[in-house]
Amino acid sequence: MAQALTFAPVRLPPEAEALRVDVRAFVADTLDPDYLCNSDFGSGHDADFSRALGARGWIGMTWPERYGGGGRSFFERYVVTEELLAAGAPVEAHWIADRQSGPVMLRYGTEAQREFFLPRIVRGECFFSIGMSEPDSGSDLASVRTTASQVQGGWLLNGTKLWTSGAHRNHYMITLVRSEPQGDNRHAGLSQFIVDLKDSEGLTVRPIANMAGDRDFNEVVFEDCFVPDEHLLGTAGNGWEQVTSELGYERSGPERFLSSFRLLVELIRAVGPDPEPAQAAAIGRLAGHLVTLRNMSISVAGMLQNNHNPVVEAALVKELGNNFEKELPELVRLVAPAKTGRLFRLTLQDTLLHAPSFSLRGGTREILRGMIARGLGLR
Amino acid sequence: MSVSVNEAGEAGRLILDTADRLLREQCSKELVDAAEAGTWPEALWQTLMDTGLPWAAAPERLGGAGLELADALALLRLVGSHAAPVPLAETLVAAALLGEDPAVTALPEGPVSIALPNADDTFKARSDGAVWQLEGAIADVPFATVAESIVVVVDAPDGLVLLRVEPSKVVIQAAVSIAGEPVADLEFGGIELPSDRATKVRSLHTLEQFLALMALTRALMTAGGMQSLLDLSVGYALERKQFGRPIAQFQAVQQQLAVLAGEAAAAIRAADAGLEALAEALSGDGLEGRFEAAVRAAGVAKSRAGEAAGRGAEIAHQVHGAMGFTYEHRLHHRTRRLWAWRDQYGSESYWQSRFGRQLCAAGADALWDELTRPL
Repeated sequence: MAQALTFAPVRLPPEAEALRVDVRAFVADTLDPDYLCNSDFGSGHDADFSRALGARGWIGMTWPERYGGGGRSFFERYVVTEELLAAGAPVEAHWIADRQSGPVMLRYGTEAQREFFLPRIVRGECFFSIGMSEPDSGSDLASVRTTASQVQGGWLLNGTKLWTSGAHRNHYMITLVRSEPQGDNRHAGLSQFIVDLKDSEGLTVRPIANMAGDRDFNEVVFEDCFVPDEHLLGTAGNGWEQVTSELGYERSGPERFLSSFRLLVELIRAVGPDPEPAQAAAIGRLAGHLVTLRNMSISVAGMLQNNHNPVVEAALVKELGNNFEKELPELVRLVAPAKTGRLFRLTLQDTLLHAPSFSLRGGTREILRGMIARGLGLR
Repeated sequence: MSVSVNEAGEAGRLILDTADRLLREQCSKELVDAAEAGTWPEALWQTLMDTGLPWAAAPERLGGAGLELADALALLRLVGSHAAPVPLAETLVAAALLGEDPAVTALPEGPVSIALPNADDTFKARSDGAVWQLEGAIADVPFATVAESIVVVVDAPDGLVLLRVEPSKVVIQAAVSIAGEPVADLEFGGIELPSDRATKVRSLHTLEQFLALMALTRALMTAGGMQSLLDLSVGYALERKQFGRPIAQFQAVQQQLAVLAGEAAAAIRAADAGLEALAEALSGDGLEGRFEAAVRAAGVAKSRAGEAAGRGAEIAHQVHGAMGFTYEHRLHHRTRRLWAWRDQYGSESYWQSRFGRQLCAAGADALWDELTRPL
């Protein structure tokens, strides 16, 4: 049996279900009911909200307690993240730090880095961006041309990162650069650095508006930008392995299929309790897909909990999930009643305008399918 | 931390491994072709009986293996992965439900067909306490022409009843499904049965629950069939050469097979989730909500697997090219079964509409809770 197909049944443990009740109560008390936010993890940056989550112990939940983490299971983290997304909570500020910057520092960082960064992330005070893509390096990540050259006490970075979400607001960025000239093995000679976005010389952040009108992603230019030795992450030259180790965390979570969820909620509101047959079928179909995707995603959380690195399974969840969250607005608009309310129309517009990014960010559909094909032994 | 459910346990695994090996050996292309031409595969059926598979969920006192029904149903994937042309699902379900009644002292010998009436059927059954009288017709009953017993599901005033009917007493209009498997319309014409042919169903309470159980059998068979489509398609793509290299090396082919893998994985997970919910419902605490959750999960399993079957069969045929369109190739034994099963016991739209109506009735603000409520 092909490896990518094994999604073992996992049931969320009681302590995770108990936590769900707490998160729902918190969200109901905290969120403004008129606040328009989709279930997209990138759709609402709110530092106060992130700090409030931190105060409840809902950031860095799986990390060791000695770094301020919760020492809790991936299942508990899963429940918190899916509840926040489903409610349309503004989770963007801390999302990347919680999902992958912290875990990659836990795995590869120095003790000093862990002691400095992790407690701050956990408190919801320290936000991270991902510095991977470049103008000429998108899916072909190993072709990055930003360089790091060693100098007294640190490294000088030169080059340009692109599509860096939140770089204009966040505190740090973990960036992938070439620290040795490219040889025969293009995956060798890459390194990761923690770059201070608030206080670095030779660093320019320029916002780029996206087609939905958001000011979210950026161009980040390094011109002899100095990064001290203590901000090298992991081992110089080991960047490729470190970057690919993040992918299991990055690709399997509920944010890969819930981005359009609020639109389904608003469709049901617009349709009312007595749907037309086509409306009932469309709603039931989307709900059935969502339930199955959630099942698969929880199964991957179980693999993470057991210290596996489910890269292919995560790619498969993301591929199916992105297709779902892109198809949702297409199906919803076809069955929506002629008269809908303002919130429905705004949510539909918001979802359609962001949908093109769903199957681009975090690995394009084509790259993911290629990884699945490799998992099937085709390449 | 995590609770793994539906591990069929040692007994289940033994049956599964044995049956899988035997089906690989015996359920050949020739055998399935012969079944399609009208030859009942008696030797294969006897082999399956020897493994204990058809009576896996029947109690040991009746010669069964005594597995929980949900655990035993997991074995039905084998029907899909080997395109086994036998009523294993029907016999397994009937043996399990009949065996629940201590008054039943022997299970029907041989393959069983289950006649489950729906709202469009004219079928009626009534009992005066001593005799059951059956009238009207039930359409599209799988395997009725090859079964040694037909088990008719009756929605009686105090619950579901199974009536064991000899096929010779029923007027059978035989036909074949798109998979070339027997289906038949049954005309009962006022036949009478003594009440000792009736068994009250204990673990299921409504026709809808029974329909969901049968839908789940099709979802599981489809899940097995999807795994087989993937294995066949990957294998073919690695062997078949065009432009001087295996077609597996072309990205266009790789991408399609990745989609097939995703559909197969979703079908398998959805079908297994249906089993998990069924296991909860049958666990014995008698909560009615658990039955509704099980019906819902079976509906999701059936509709998600049915969608996967449509897309998966399309890709598998495209990858196999003209070779897979020949009668000679065994691919169509799988794809045609997937097409047949997706229309049995409620198509995708039937189950999707049911789920959608419930979600609308619950309301927008209850949606998330509806989708996440633990079993």
